[in-house]
Amino acid sequence: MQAAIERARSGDAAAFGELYRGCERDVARLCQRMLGPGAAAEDAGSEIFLRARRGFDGYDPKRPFRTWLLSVAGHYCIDQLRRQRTEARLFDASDLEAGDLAAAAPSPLQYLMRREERDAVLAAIEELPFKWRLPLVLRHFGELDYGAIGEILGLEKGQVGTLLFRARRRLREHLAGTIRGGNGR
Amino acid sequence: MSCFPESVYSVYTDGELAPAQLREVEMHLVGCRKCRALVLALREEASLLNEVLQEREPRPAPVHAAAAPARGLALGVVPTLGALGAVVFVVGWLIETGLPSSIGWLNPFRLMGAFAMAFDLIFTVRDRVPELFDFALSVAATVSVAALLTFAVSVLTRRWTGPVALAALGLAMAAGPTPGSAMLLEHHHDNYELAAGETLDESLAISGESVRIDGVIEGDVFVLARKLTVRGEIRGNLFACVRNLEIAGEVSGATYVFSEDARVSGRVVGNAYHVNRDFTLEQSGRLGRDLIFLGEVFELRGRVGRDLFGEVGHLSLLESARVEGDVRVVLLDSDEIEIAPGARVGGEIEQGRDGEHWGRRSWYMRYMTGHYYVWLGIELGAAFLFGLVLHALAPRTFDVRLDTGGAFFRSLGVGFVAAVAAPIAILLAAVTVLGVPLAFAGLFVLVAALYTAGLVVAAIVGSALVHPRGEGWRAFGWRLLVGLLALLVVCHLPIVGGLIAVIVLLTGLGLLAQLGYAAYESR
Repeated sequence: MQAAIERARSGDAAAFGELYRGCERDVARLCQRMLGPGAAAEDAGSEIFLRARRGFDGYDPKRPFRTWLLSVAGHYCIDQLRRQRTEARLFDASDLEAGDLAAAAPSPLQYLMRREERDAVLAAIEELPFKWRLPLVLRHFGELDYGAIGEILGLEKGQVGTLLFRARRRLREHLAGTIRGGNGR
Repeated sequence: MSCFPESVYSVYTDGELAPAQLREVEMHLVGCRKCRALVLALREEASLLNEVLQEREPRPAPVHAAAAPARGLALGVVPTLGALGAVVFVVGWLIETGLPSSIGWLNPFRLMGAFAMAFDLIFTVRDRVPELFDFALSVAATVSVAALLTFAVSVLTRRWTGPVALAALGLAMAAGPTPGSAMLLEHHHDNYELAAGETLDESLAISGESVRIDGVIEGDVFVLARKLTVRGEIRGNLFACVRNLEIAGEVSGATYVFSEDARVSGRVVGNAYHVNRDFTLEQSGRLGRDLIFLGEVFELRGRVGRDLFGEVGHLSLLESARVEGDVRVVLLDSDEIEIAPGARVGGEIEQGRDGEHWGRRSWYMRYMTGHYYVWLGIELGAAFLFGLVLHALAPRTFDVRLDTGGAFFRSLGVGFVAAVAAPIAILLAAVTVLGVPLAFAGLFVLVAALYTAGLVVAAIVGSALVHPRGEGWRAFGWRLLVGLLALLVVCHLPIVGGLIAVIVLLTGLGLLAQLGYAAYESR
């Protein structure tokens, strides 16, 4: 991959294409998780490819290519979401306030997740509202740090931390009843 | 050093803490086993989330997803409406074709005999449980405040407190002061009299045989007695459940009266709401505003400051009668209002016959008045605001769906059971002295639940009508407004509107009951 990156940086279009194809599936999955299943996610690939191609000069080789590409994809998805929704902001002020950050459930997800329940966890993540789902997907699928996530979402790093905490808490609350009830506990 | 909040450990686990705080957290973790366990659990959680998101493909787009929320309602409402409509038609036909006179009182528009029966029942219960009235009133205020506070605390902390809420209620009752300073509570087996020249600076709640008020009462008056005579002054409102009522003095507020006979020769400044078998407004009698009534024989010789509105067997506006506003009356036993030559009505006179309740003439009349639409607008605004506040405080209230016809019928069934069982449970609880505060709290909860039920269904209807579906309060508000408008229109349709309203309330009540049960199970 390092060789392909070097060739792509010197203007080799085929090398860039090779790099992109290596991460194409991840790009598609990120778009589906952020935009939801549907035509918008399916059409995103070509647009993201063009954006990445145009912005490749700004790529820092010290960063993993996959991380950078997913960051570009994340930016694109956020732009799409802002266009789809009637209000420009995806997050209300109350979502970003650091108050009321007490834990809701007695234990994190590890006690609730068994192999056969992971599909239920995935379903629960995909049913989360955008404001919780986006940072969760960018962090745990895109493996982006707070700074990169903040840049995509237009937020400060502290606000990203707050959103992630709330997202995980909400996920636990959502799953606590579903999984425990399904097990008859 | 005390433990850090979990949010800090969440950021720590992500490796994103600022260096200064990072050192503090690590120092704390050295000595705190509980926090180390939490951090370990959070790391496991993050690792599992990574695995789930990265190893599994996203789910494919479901087909016809947008139709799901509406299907349950659409499949269920029509047959339910048909069934309810058939029941109402049959019952209405049975009533209108004439029942034997011995059971004529079953007809809701025929009150003869029902008055006597109702009063016998009330006074029998009152006399058998003499302490109940005093005790019920004395704890009602404390219980209401305790219930409100408990409810507010539980929704603000977003937890279902369940037994904790009940325990808090019990403690509040035991520790709370009786509202003795705000209201004088009396229970007499015979007569009570406030003599002329005496003044009571508080409200009066009284149960007795005969109550006579010749003095002045600064507050409201609540009376349960066989006879009430007011020759003095009541500066607040009058709430009376009596066999015989005479108002020769003045009531500065409104009167809410349920009595067999009522005679007003004095003055009522506010509205007068009367359910009387016989009502007489003497020539010297003055009603400052509206008279809203239901009864058998109403005779007016005095003055009504605004409108006359109600249903009555016979209405007579005698020689000196003056009604400054409109007269809108449905006559149950006579063909027309008896209006003497000297009587005067300042506004319009609209009279309908009993059967015309369901006829064209009365059902469309209300749609022709402007104030009908003003009140609809106020009703809509209040419901919308309440819905927004409830969504902000307790968003889980609206986490309900009606995906299938089966879900709709299940909710309707649960709602019907709740609507029937709850009042019975409240009444049974009220029979025992200990249960009275629970009964009042239960009544409060039932009323709040009925109001919320309509909002919940409105949100579901709005979700089906409005796309795309967002999650912010603006998106919710838009869905709620559209749903409320839709429900407002269908619930005010002629003839079927009432039935639809009943279905909406019962379905919503059922959804809330199921939500409450699910929350209780997952606590």
